[in-house]
Amino acid sequence: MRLPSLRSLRVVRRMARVTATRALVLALLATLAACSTLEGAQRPKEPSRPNGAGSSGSTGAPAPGGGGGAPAQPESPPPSVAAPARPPGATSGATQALLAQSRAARAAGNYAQANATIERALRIAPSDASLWVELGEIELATGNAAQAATLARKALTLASPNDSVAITDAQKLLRAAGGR
Amino acid sequence: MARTARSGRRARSRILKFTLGAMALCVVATIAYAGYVTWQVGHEFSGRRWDLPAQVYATPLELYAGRALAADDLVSELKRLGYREDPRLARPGTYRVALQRVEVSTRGFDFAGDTEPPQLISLGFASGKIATLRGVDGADAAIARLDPLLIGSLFPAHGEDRLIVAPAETPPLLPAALIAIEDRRFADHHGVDLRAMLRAAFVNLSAGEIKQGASTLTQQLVRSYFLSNERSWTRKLHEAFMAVALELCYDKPDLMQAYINEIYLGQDGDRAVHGFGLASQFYFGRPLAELDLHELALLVAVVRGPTYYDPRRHPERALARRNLVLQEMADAKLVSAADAEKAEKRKLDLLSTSRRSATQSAFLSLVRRQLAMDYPMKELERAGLRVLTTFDPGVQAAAERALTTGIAALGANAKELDGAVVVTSPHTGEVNAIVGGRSGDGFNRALDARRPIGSLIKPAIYLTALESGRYTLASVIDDSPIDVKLDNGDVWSPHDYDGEPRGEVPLIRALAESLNLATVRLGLDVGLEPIAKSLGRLGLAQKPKLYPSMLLGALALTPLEVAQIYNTLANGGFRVPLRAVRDVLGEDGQVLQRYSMQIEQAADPAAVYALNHALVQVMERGTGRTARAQLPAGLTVAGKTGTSDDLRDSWFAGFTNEHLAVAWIGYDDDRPTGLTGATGAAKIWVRVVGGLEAGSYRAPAPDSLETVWVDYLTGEPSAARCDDAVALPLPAADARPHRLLQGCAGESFGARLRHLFRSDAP
Repeated sequence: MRLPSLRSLRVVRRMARVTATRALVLALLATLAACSTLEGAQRPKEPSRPNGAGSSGSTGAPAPGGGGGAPAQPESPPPSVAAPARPPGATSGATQALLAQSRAARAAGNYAQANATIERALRIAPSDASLWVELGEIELATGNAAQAATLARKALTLASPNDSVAITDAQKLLRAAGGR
Repeated sequence: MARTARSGRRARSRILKFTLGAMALCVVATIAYAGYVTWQVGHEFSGRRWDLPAQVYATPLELYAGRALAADDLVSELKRLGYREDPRLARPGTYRVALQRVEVSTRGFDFAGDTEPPQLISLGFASGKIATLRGVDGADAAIARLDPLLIGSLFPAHGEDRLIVAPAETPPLLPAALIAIEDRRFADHHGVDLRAMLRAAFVNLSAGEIKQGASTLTQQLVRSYFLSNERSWTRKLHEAFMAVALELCYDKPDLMQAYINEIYLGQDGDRAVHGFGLASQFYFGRPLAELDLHELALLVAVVRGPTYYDPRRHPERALARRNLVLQEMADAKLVSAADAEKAEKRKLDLLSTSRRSATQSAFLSLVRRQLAMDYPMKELERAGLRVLTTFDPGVQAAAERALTTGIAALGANAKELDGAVVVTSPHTGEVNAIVGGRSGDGFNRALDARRPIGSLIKPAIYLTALESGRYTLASVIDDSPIDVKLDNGDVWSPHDYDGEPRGEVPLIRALAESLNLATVRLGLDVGLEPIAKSLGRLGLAQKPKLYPSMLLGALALTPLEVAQIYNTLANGGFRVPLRAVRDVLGEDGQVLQRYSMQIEQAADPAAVYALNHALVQVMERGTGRTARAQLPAGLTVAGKTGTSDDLRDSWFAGFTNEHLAVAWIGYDDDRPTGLTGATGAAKIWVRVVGGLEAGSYRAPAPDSLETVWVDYLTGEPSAARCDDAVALPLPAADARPHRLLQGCAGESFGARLRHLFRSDAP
């Protein structure tokens, strides 16, 4: 007489156990699945400051936009070769230092860096014609002749009449950029 | 169990079955729920990244020998950056001051390869300039930079802002203190702390009120990250489950760092300040790693209730709780009792709200607008970009000061008077400062107040005339009453401000004294269409309606639009679109976009040179004369006043060699101010320029022009010695008659000859 109830109890128990086991397995699976996505979980990001330093500069690799096909030599027009010969104009030590940095970046083919550095110098000495020529040469080297010509014209409006070096360089740049 | 029952076994067995079934269901449901919670926690916590609003940086301060910067200016810049005076220069972010000398341990920075190393520098000062700059080795250094000021972030409308810090940027004392104060058994529990719960329940029951909470750090994290702040049992339960689930998948250091970056720590207007990294900037203006013990303790104290313990609103409460935190830290042996005691004696040392310039938001909205052209708003508000801008904190401070003190100096009736200032670097087109009003009331007048510009339009008319080749600065025009028949049949009869027509005057005088009648004649002669085209070339985006009233500035523009036009003049006729952003860096620190200068020649350089020469005369002899007298005698500046009808708007735009500034003042409801450009905005402008390192406006004369002496009143050739002689650059052909022997107005030929044999002859 008790058997059926016992049996039914056992059945229920077994059923419950099976269900529970199944649920447990499912839950474990779900948990595992949930956890597995946590591997790359939100960690506070590494400070981006100290990183990525050398990657855009100093590797010597041609910067994007530096040249279409030629890998080794950035296809730079004549002005960039002539540029480093230009003696310092009436600029301070600070702009000279930046000019040297900009030229080093340009020589390494890193035109973006060269451009950013010369813009720094221009913020310090915006009336220095030779810095505008320098910027124009970088623009020309990156294939932006129209900008280069305009920058040469701007340099010419700023050069004092006795700054023959800046005037000559600006005119040279203007010709190279195809602007008369 | 079934033994007690003899009858109704079936029923009982049914009940049993039902009960067991229900229990099984419960177990299944619970497990399913647990699984779901774990999944949710795992999915959301890993899948969702924090929305990181773009952080916006000012331009870094360049330091070099020869720069006009007084020691005081440098110190206030250092303070703005949160540098601290420290005689030992123990770490980056400190400085010390000696006589005429400031030594700084700089923080350094690295923005995508643009690197400035942290270094010790020593600056010597003499007569308001940096005289020497030396490195730590005592050798002269050419140039060094301070780290750029973080001016704000482009946080979204719901207002959650944070600055993520990595474990390396977190002082080890912070997690230790959080554990000591908020959750002592953090290292041992599995998300919930049952012991603490029981203790809290006991304390609260016996006290009859809620005195103690028992939330673990993990629960607080869950609450802040996933849940709303409602208080209910189901939420509590859900929170506990989630906390356990979170602990299952995460290790403790990760949870701690997440907590440090997640938790809410204060309110700044619309902006909710989250995480200790931003809180450190918000309360102290310094990186988290540089905080002193008493400051760190304050942040830990604020966790319990950022509103209740708001250190700015309730300093006493915050101080008391901070000291409690310090004591508990000493009890937990995190710091020595002596250090804790010393720290308890310190003040709160909060960043004063005046230093957190509310008006910086005016510049930020320009940044937003420039970036909105290239980036979806969502990306700006979420993607953790860093934006390097052209903002100059020193210039901004000078411009803000100029507007507030300048308006206050206008007198008692100026109470509701407001204004705007825009400052740019004309050669590069960089916007250095934007003041959108006297208070940070959210209305950005520099960008959004579009007002009639009055005589500010005149340079465009004169430029058109000079470029036409038919006029020089010495050409004579008629300043006498004129009736202009309009298309609709009406007759327009403009008049001069002081009512007195001058008769025949040269262009130079008509512009310098802003004569309306002469200008209308000139404008009608060169044509409205060419003038509108000139405005377009100078940088005006909208096309003005070609009514004759345009000639007197019926055109309504914002101060920023005016700045674009005048920037092209100050830049010698080269148009550079004004920009506020230099670079945008992605989350990985690499450059996403550079906004380099785009330059175009917009006008004949010779004509612009002559025009600018006339704008210098505005300041020397014309409507800007009184204002100009406030500036140093040797300083050459160029500018123009503008006044709209009924004196509703007072404008001034002008430039030195390094800066262009546009000032506007008026009422928001457009009622008359009683001020002209000269008596209102010009006074603000002078204060702006007076507060900057201004160098004289200068430009070499173009070859095509020749500078000769002209009588200012009549435009006749003149000798240099005459009272009203003014040197004017004229095209060589027009200059020829002026080269002959000239005398002064009304002088006999004999007198001229006599002067020829004197030493002062031209």
